[in-house]
Amino acid sequence: MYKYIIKRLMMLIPVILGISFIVFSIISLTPGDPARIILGNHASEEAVENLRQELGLNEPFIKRYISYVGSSIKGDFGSSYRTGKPVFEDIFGKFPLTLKLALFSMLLATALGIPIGIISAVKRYSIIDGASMIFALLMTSMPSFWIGLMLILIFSIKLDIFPVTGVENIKGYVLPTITLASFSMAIITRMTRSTMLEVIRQDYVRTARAKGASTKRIIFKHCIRNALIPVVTVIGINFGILLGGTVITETVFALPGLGTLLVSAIRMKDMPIVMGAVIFLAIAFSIINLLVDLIYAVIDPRVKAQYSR
Amino acid sequence: MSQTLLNIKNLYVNYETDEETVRALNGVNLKLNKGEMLGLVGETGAGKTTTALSILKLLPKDIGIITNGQIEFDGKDLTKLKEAELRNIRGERISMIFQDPMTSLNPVLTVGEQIAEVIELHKTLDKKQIESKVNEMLELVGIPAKRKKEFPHQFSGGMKQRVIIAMALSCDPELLIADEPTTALDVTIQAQVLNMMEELKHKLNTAMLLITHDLGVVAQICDKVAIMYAGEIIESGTAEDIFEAKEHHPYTVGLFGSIPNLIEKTNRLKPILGLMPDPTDLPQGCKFHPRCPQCMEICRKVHPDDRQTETHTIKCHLYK
Amino acid sequence: MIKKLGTLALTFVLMITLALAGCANKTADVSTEKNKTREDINIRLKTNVDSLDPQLSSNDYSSNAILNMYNTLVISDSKNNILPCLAKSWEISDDGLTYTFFIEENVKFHNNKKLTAEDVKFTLDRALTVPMGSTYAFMINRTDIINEHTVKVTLKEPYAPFMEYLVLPFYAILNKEAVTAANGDKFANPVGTGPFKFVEYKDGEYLSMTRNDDYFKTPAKIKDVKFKIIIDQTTMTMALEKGEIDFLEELPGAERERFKKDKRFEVLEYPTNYLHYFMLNPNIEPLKDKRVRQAIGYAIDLEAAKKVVYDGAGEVNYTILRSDMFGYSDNIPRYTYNPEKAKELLKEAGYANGFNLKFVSVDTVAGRKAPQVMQGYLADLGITMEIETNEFGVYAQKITGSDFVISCCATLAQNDPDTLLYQLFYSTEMMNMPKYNNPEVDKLLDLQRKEVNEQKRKEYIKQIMDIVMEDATILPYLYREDAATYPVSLKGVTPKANCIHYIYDFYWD
Ligand SMILES: Nc1ncnc2c1ncn2[C@@H]1O[C@H](COP(=O)(O)OP(=O)(O)OP(=O)(O)O)[C@@H](O)[C@H]1O
Ligand SMILES: [Mg+2]
Repeated sequence: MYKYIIKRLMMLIPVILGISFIVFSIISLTPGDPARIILGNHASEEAVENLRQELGLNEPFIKRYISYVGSSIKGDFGSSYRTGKPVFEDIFGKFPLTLKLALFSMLLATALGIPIGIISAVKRYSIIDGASMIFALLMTSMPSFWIGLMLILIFSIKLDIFPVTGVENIKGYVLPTITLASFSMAIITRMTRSTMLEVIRQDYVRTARAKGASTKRIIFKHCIRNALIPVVTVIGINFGILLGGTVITETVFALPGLGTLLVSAIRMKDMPIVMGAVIFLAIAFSIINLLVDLIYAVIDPRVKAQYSR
Repeated sequence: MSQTLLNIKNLYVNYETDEETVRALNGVNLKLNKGEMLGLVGETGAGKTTTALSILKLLPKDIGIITNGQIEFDGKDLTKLKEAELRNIRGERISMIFQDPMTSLNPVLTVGEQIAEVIELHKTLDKKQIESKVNEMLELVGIPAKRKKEFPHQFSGGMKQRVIIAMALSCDPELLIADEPTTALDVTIQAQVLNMMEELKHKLNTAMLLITHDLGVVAQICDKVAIMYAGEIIESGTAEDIFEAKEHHPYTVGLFGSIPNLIEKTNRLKPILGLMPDPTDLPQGCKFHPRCPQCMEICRKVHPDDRQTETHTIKCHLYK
Repeated sequence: MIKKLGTLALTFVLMITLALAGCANKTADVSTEKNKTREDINIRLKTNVDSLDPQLSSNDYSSNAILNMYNTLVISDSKNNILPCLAKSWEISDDGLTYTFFIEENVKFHNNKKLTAEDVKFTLDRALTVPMGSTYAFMINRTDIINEHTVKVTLKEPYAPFMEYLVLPFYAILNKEAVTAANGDKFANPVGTGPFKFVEYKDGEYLSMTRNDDYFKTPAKIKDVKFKIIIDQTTMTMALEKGEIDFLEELPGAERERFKKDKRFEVLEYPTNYLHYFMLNPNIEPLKDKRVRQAIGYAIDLEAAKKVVYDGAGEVNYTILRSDMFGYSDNIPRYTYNPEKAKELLKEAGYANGFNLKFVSVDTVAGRKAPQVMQGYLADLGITMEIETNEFGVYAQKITGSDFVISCCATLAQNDPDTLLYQLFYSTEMMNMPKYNNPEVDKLLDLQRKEVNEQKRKEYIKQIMDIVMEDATILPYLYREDAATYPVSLKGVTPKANCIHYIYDFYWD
């Protein structure tokens, strides 16, 4: 097991090198001059040129990449072009909020999505099933900014319960969490329902019925664990996506998250931030994937057998 | 004469899907006495598994529907029982060994847990007693008790089948339905499993409905034989009736090719020219007539009735 | 089936929410009574702060906000009159070359250091060295200290709009010691003389300040100021309704009616000096022919375009200069909507059947809408226009590199036309992005700049306008109209053509 974990962590190295190279290339080779962006339209060509020189932007692309890799191995990921602060100071400044939101919304999505999915599958074609599937369809087809705005309209403006912006207290998290959770929840509900339906049709469920087990027992003892295996993957992926920040929700609720940081860094061609954030996210994503795999092993003994090798 | 344990009367089962209605059983009559072993033989798609599932009411929900008939078990009509009453019968009085051992065990529970479950459900025993019962059952089917902590994927196909058998037998059922218990196994294991089942039959006096393709097996261990075609029992009787009598349904004749004698063990079903009729669109008259070498005018129009001579029943216009 | 039901349900939910939304805005408490005694204010800030050092900030929203922690030598009122601030008075030499400023004597920086001529000289000297110096400080030759509270600024040439420049955040007076210590750190704690002191800046969240009780004038009435960073326009209006912010600018045209009807809010609309214009590159076919450029000018109905792009807000402009600006003349070539004339000109130029061209635009609301409107009008002439919408960075690079056939831009004009005309038309100016090159215009621009005689200068400007309008490399579009919106109990807000609001003037009543 430990061997497996270490092996997986080692695999991060080529992954990060690959990702960083791709991102570095995209940012470097697409049009747009960071120096010009930093200094604005009003700065002289000479000042822009000086800044380019200072930032080393005139060096050939490969040389810049190699020196980036070199210094980042030593732990120096550079400083933001925009704020001049060390990259990870900026990223870690934004990450707690993003992490909190991602955690809250995944908890909410899971806590609601799985039971609803199970009930829908068990009571297939019932009113509950119909209602929850329509709800899921709505949640996946409504753009999240719209959900966010509607929540604000109803719960902030009309009912005056939650604030529009800011997360100074726990109340501020409620609406963004719901907004973020809605899509994941819909996906989890649908996924749980369909895998549950799949599992209910399995031979071993029939075996369990032949033993004289009650429906309740069959669902809890025989179905849920099997049905959750693919759902765990979905939860993992969704969580990973949320960790990258969700620009739209952050924009609607004016939250300073990682998503906004990353998008504005891309726009500003703030290479150190983009690279730092991407590498950070790649690591976070890999760790989540690893966790998902480990959870797999807990749920599914067949998988566990593979890892112990 | 011994006591009737299971009596299926005029059973009709349809599979109703959105697109079509499959007429899987069309008036099945079947009788099984206590402690007896009945072999149910037929081509693939004849409705053998459907018959077995109907008994336990395990037909796929909302799709498999009993449209007519009774299934009397120990004098009670199973088709009329409530779910809760059925639960007391399933696993305890009637248990079933399913066709495919590879998929019939839950992959996330240990085999011990899965055997213990059926005991737990029907017997009031404490944990320790359950454990020792599990050990006993595993040993009975020839698996070391210590392997109960393992998961199904750690077992071979034959061992899985044994686990299923252990599970099916752990509450000493009065009726054991075994749906091709040996098809998934290789020849040597097959023999072992069959021997074991026969032994168990004698030891526990369990009645058994053995569904199989293997005539050798039937000849070897069954007291009675029923031959199924397109959802009907077209011939039934004692092993002697089927293997030695002069008169047979033409399908049986085709099935057996030449009737083997009882000692010969390895004869398999022989292919018959033509295909089983489409169960969504069954022919009029005798369902076998399109393939029957002795087809007569009447066969095309009139559905034949059973002709009973002592223990031997044949459903054919040839015999009146 | 499920899909159909879904659509049905979606429509249903939509209707309910819209119904709820319709009667939504009556409950949030922005009541006048509660506001009267307030000492704090929350102001919407559209972007992140790009620097706390006003000379290093290239973002107007950001620099206008931080200006509240600083003072400039002079300030302007809503009519753009120049008023004293840190400079209690000034003298301008007859030749227009030297400006002598007499500095207030009892001014303290937030670090308790006294303001001296040293700091003013430091500020003006540094202005020449920073990246934007070439745009904002090109006219300054040198600065000399006369005594502890007097400085003399010598210009390279007479430059009439100099005082207007001194109003800008770029000329906020810095503390020599603090700026030297910061050593180029754009986010070092700002030390100004202004009515508010820096408290905290959280990137993506807010910039907060508190009242400077040692201010050299009466301290401000507002005590705590928080600029909340809210990018989204819809969120901004909802936050205003909810009372989470008290002041915002740039209320979108579509929202104005609603807020005007709402008795709780004041909507203050005023013209700004931000000129929006189209740029036609005269160095690339087929726009090399000025008749083609003129045809494009005639082809567009600016009034109608304004309705689509800005929901009707703003003041359409045909003359580059506005009627209240120095040197304005009514009697110059202009391109009012005339599709017939446009067709005729195209025919003359040999493009009766039109041609293809590409519009390089930027990914903002107006940047997306404006070219679309233009596309429609040009299609009437048989011209097929492709629209390329870019990230700001790419757009900035393309337009400053003159890499476009047709594009759009905006700039803050002064009441004195010199800067604007120079930027737009002088051959070597960077902001002359179509690279218009006319020695005659260059000569006239230089002449008007040095000319002290107002009448003569006006004549030069008229001549310039005649030529550049005829050449049509710049097609003016409109002067943006701003709409500041705030609760009625907030007082002291005055219209500002340069969009600089001094929170010092604000108070609750
Ligand atoms: N779930 C189902 N839905 C629809 N039709 C079904 C279903 N299960 C079985 N059938 C049909 O019912 C008929 C009888 O099937 P059944 O499984 O009882 O055959 P069988 O005799 O057990 O065959 P085999 O020897 O292959 O196991 C077949 O035509 C089959 O296609
Ligand atoms: Mg079968």
